[in-house]
Amino acid sequence: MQEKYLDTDTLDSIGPLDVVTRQVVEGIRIGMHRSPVRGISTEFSAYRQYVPGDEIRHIDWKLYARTQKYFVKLFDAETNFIANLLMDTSSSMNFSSGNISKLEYAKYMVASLAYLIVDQRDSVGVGMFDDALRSYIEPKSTPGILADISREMEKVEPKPRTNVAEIMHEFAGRMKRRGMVMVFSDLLDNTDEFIKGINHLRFRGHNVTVFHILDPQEIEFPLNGVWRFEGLENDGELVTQPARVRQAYLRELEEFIGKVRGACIKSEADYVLVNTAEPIESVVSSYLLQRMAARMR
Amino acid sequence: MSFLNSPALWGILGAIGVAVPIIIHLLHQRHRRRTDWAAMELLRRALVVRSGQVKLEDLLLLFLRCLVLALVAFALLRPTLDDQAEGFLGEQRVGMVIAIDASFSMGHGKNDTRMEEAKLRVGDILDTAKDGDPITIVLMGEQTRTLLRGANFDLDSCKEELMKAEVFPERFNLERATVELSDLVDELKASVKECYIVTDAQATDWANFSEEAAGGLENLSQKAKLFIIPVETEGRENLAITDFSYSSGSLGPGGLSRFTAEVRNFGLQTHEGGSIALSVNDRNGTPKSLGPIKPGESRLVDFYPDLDQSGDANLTARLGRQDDSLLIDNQRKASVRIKDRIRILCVDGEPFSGDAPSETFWLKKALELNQFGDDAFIEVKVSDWEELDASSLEEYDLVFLANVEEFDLDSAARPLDSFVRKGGGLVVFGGDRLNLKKYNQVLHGSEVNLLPGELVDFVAFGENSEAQEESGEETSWSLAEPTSSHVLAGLASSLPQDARDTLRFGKTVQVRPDANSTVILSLAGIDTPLVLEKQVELGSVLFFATTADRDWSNLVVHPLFPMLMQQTITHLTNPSSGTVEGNLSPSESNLEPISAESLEEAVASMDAIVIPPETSNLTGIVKDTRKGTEISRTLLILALLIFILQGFLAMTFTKRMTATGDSDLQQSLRKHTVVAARRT
Repeated sequence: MQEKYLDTDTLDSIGPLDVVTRQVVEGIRIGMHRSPVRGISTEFSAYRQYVPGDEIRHIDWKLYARTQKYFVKLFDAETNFIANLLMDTSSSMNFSSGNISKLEYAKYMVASLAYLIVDQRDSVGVGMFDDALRSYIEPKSTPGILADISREMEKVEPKPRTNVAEIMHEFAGRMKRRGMVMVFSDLLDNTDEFIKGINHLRFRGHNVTVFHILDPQEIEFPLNGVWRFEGLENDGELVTQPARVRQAYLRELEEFIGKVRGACIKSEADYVLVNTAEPIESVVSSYLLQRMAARMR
Repeated sequence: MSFLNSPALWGILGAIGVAVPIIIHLLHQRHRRRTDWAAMELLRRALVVRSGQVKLEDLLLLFLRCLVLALVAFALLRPTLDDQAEGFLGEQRVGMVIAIDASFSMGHGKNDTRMEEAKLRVGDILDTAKDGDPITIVLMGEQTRTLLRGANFDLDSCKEELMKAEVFPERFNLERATVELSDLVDELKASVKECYIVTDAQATDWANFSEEAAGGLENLSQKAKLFIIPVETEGRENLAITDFSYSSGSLGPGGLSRFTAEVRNFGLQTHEGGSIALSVNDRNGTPKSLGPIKPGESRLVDFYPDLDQSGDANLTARLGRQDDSLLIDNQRKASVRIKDRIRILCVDGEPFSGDAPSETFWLKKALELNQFGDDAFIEVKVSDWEELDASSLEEYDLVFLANVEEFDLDSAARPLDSFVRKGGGLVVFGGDRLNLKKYNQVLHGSEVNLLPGELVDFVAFGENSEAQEESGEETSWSLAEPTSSHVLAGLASSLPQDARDTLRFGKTVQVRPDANSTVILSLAGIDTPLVLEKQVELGSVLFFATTADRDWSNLVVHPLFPMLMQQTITHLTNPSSGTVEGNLSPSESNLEPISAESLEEAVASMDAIVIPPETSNLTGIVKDTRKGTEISRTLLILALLIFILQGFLAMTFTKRMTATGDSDLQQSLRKHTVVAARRT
């Protein structure tokens, strides 16, 4: 790949894996994804007791012979899906304690996942937002969209204030078909509003995954000495000895993460805490493996 | 509270020490780094929780660290509390300076001497000391001798040193002792300082202090608790030779000289049957009976030793009576130098004085007297001033200058100055030719200062109206009654008044004497000296404010003149005749002690404690007076405890903010990822 964010090494590492969604989404094209519309494919899914109106040909007679009851076979339909990748481009995402900022990390993740999705003939769309949706690339399954995504991401100029919840509400209304929504953000925003946004998406039947991206310095807070912290979201500055407040900070962080994670679990959304110190391929691979494992269950 | 170390020095060092952590703290605060930060809300919430506690912890640690340094600095000042609190706040370290009177009067006593008594008293004092107390023991005579100086107390070594204490042939110099004791007290590093003076408390030393001694004792009592501990022995009978010296006569070969010894009874009873003998160069002479000497009475005994041999003669007068309790003052010495030839140069400043005999004529007559031919041991050479070879002055013992007009600084004054400083004698006579201004400039200036005074002016009888009025019908001045103890004055005073009154002076040089010169004879009716002397290093200069001829007076034809000249020869060629170093101070022979009550009165203003000789409980009295506790050790222990406390707190605070719960927290954060993924 020639595009900046479609790193060959990363994609080589991820490539053999398939993007597998936990729930079956509706789709026109037959793909590898299970459809909620049962009975239209040949792959057996489950039994259900016969009710008037069911087609007689779907009754399992062998089972009738053993149980003296009528059961019909249900079959999963394999369809394609639409994934919307929403990337937070606010100023806070621009923070970096090492070689890569959270925003850059998110861009690599978005590009990688978009490639994988398109590669298996599903559609992917990408939205970039700060306090509003700044750009949106409509979902397509053609490889050309990858270049568009990469180009758009290069144009990003971080701005203060994130409003993830509002963006989620907006997408909940925008997406007519149920699909997959992946949010890439540090979520340093109003947590309660964010949870409402998650619930709204889930209510509309979307499969939601939250990639909570944090810098290792934000996670470990390992600074010593006296520091002046200047907020990236125009939220003032603070002078303190990090070592002396480290414990309290980490407790706050734990509480914050716990609250987001708890809301995700409650809404049956996926939550992935991403430490930008970890290799991108490792994070994506790990995520996909977990999804594969979930499917096997 | 008081301090053993300098508060100024250690106070400044302490302040610097305390300032160090504060400065580090401030520098640490100033040295801040910056970073952008995204999770400001989380940080802000953490700060709300922790900032107050952090500040409190910081201030607590800073305060404790400053307190540690302040306590150490304070401990280094070695503060002492005035009240007695030993065992609770600190330790009572007692520093002692023990001064033992080692003057020869301390040798008095038939069985036990006063020095032995003093050692017993010192032993009692040492019984109050504890191991480690700084102890100084000195022997005080004319000067101080140290047995122990600031040594940590150890009973055995102290007693060993004490055994070395002995009596010296010196007097007790109270003035000097107080100054030196004060310095020794300053050296002590102890919360309690004590100074003990163990003495036989002779009345001559203690009854009437000099201002210097009183000031010294006052100063001493302010620095330390001052104890004066008199010791006594039975009786105080003592017969002593208080003086023995050359009195008069010629000290040349074959000359007759007189030495006089003064014997004094310092006891309370009349001494009878005693004798005194003179030995010359260890050859004993026949003892002379002293006869009865009443208490306080002195007896003068003259000796006319046979001093035919040239060279140094050592004379010793000894009391034959050996039964008094202080033997050291029963003898006295004198030493003279007998020269086989004395060379004198007479310089005539007015060689051509008409028909009348010149100055040198009269001088030569008086100096040579009745010596003739090769037997003459006084050799007089007469020289004119113009012919004088100043470089040859060292060939002579004495130089007489008679009516010399003036001197050149380099060619005459400097050689004369060198001659006198090396021990030569210079005699200057006045006269009309004297250029007084030049004399003052050259011989009484800053470079050469030989004259005993400034030559003011010539004064002739009758020119001074006051003097004339006072003298009534007189036409000249007479010699004033001699008051000086000088040997030359003694000659004049030995003359009968009538004979002395025949001496007449019509003119003189008025002299303003220097402070360091001695006026030997003066003129009556006018306030100006006639004969003055000044010591210039090893030699002496005599100035006669009259002429050596008959122009101004009839001195040269008076019988006193040859006597004066002969005595001048002896005096100037034996400047130290009759005095010998090492002779004892007569005042020390007076064993009369001052009573303890009188001593208490004498030192009442000095806050000194007098412990009478009969007091048996010396140790108890000393202990009862002690107060003052040094708290340095307590402060250092306190500083150490606070240091440990702050270290513990710092470690606790640090652990709390770095280690505790961190691993759990990180684990918890990792779980979030895993759980969520599994959930998926």
